Amino acid sequence: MNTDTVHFVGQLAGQATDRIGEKIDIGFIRQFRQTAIQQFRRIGFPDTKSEDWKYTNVQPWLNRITVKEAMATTPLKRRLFSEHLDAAIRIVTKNGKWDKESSAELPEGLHISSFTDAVLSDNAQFKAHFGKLTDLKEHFSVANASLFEDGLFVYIEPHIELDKPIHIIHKTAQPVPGFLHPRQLIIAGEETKISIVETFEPEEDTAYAFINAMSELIVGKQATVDHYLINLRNQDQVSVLNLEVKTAEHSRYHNFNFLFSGSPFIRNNIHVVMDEGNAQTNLLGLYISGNDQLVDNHTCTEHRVACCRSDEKYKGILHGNSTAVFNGKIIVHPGAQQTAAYQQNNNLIMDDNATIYTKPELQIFADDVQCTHGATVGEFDQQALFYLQSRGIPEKSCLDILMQAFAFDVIDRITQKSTRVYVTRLFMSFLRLLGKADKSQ
Amino acid sequence: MLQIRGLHAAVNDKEILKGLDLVVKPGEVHAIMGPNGSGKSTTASVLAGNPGYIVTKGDIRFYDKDIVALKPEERAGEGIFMAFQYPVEIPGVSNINFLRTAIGETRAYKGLPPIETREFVRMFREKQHLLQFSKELAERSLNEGFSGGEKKRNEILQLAMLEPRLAILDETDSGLDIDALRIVSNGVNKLRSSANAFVLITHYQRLLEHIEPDFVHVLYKGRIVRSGTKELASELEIKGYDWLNDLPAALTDQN
Repeated sequence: MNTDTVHFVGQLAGQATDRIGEKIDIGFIRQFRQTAIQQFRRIGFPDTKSEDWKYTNVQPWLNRITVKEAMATTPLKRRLFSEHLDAAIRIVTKNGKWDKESSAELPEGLHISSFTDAVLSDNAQFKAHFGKLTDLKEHFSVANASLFEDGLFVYIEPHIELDKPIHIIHKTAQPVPGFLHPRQLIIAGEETKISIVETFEPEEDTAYAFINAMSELIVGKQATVDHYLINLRNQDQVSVLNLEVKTAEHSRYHNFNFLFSGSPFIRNNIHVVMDEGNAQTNLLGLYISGNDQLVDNHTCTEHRVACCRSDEKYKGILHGNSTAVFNGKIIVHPGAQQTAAYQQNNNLIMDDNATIYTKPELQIFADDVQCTHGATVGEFDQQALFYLQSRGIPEKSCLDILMQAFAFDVIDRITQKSTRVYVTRLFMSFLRLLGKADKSQ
Repeated sequence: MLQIRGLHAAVNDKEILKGLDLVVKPGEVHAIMGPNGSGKSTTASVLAGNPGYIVTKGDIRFYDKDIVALKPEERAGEGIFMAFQYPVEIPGVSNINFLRTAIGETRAYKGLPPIETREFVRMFREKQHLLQFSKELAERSLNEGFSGGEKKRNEILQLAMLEPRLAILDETDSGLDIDALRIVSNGVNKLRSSANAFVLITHYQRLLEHIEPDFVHVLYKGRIVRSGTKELASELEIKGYDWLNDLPAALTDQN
C-alpha cells in the first residue's frame, strides 16, 4: 500500500460509505460495495514497490485530483476527432452514465440500460454476473467497486448476430478536477456474433480527470466477440482501465487495444480468463506515445482448462521522452494441456529519450503446452528509409509508409472493413499530429 | 550526363573515395570493377545520396546540376536510380503500391501529371513479363521472403518502371544463379537506349558477358587506376587484382 495516500484513501472510503443507502445500493450491490470498501481501506493505492506497478507511479496523478495547480508536464495537444465510425450502433455515455438521448435506436436482441434500471427491474442476467469478475486484489478495481455510482449494462441475447458494430462512446466532461469511476457490464449470450468498439473521448475544455474505469465482459458459449478499445483522451485526462473478461467454450474473443491518445498517463489491465475448453483469445495492441506520456499495458491471459489458444501481439512506437510499459502475463493452470499460447511485443524507438519496459511473464503449470514469447526493441530502420527515398518518395511520406508498415500486422487483423478504415485514419492522423508535436519542441 | 571530379567521400569518418573521376555520356554503359574494399559500393551509395556517406571533397554534376546536396528522393526525381546490392525487405508495404507511389512521386517531381491507372497497369504487365516477375510476387510485401534472385529481379523491375536516365547497378550479379543472371541482363539490355546510361558495379567479369560495356574502369583504393574497353575486363579475369598491389604509390596515393 502506498502510505503517502492513506489520508486520501480514508477520505474516499468515507465518500464510498455515504453511497451505501442510495437508490442503487440494494441487496447484492450493497454487499459488494461494503466488501470492496473494507478491502480498499486495507490495500489503498499501489506504490512502485509492488511488482505490478514498478514502472508506474500513480501518486502524482492522484495528487492532482485534489491539488489545483497544473503539473509540469508538456501537454500533447490533440484536436478532437471528426472521423466517425460509419454505420455503427452509437451508444453514448457521459462520465460513465448512459446518455440515452444521444444514443441510437437499438436493434432487436440488444439491450442497454443503466445499472440502476437493471437493479430496479431485478434483471436476472445482471444479478447473475455483476461484480463476479472484479478482482479484489487489484487496487483500482477495488477503488472502483467502492466508489462507482451507476454504470452501463449491455446485454446481447443468445444467437444474435449484429453486422454493425456497437460503438460505445465514452465521454468525459469535468467542470472541476475529479476522480471518476465509470463501470460497465457486457454480456454476450451464447452463439452471438458481435463487435464492440469503445472510444474514450474528451469533451473540449474540461478540467483534469482521473478516470478509473472498470469493465466486465462475459463471452458466452460459441460466441464471437471482437472488442476494440480506442483511447483518444486528451492531455487533461489520465486513466486506469480494468477490463475483466471471461470466455466460455468454443468462443472466440478478439481484443484490440489502440492508444492514440494525448493523455499523459494511461494504465490498462486486460485480464482474460478462458474458463472452458476450445476457446480462443487474441490480444492485439498498438500504442503510440510522445512527449512525456506514460503508456502502460498489463495483460493477463489465463488458460484454466485444456485445449485453448491465445495469441497476443502488442506493438509500440515511442517518440520524445515518453515511456511505455508492456507486461504480458500468461498463466497455464494445472491440467490445461494442449494449450497454445503465443506472445509478441515489438517496439520502435524514435527518439533517444524514449523508454520501453517490456516483460513477458509466463507461468506454466501443465506439461503438454506450446508457448512462445518474444520482445524486440529497435530503432527506426534507416536502410529502409533510404531505400524508399531512393525511389523518389519524399522522406515524410516514407516515414508514413514505414509506420503504417510497422502497424500493419495489427491493423490488418481487423476483419470488419469500416472499423479498419476508421482505425487506419485515426492512426495516420495521430502519427502526423505527433510528428508535428515532436518537431515543435 | 554525369561528371564526377576529384570525389572524396567518407563513411563513419573513414575516407573511402580518394579522388574519383568519371564521365558518363548518354547511351553508354560503364563497368566499375575492383577488389573488395576498393570503394565500388561506396561509389554507388554516394551517387544515390545515402545519408551515411559524406562527400568531403570534389563534385558530382548531373546534367550540369550539382547534386551533392540533393536528397535521395530528389536525385531519383532527376533520373538517378540505384539497384541495391542488398534490397531491403519491408513487410507491410505491398510491392505494387510502392511502385505506384514511387512513380507518382517522381512524376510529380518532374511536374508531370499522375499516371493513369490503365497506363500503369499496361506498363507494369509489360515490365513484369520482361523480368518474369509473377503476379504473386508483385502483390507480396516489398522483398519480404524473396529469394536473392527475386530481389534482384525486383530491383530491375523498379528500374524498368521508373525509367531513369542513369542507372547504377550495385553488384546486381552477386548471389544470382545463371538463369536469374540471364533474365536480369536481358532486362537491362532491353532497357538500354541512346538516352540513358548504365554504371555496372561488379566484382566479376561474368555480368559483362551478358551486358556488354563500352568502358571498363578499375577502382583501387578509392580511385580509378585504369580505364579501358571491355577487353580490360577479360584481362582482369585472367590476371585477377593482385597486380594492383604492385602499382607505383604515386598512382594510388593522392594524399
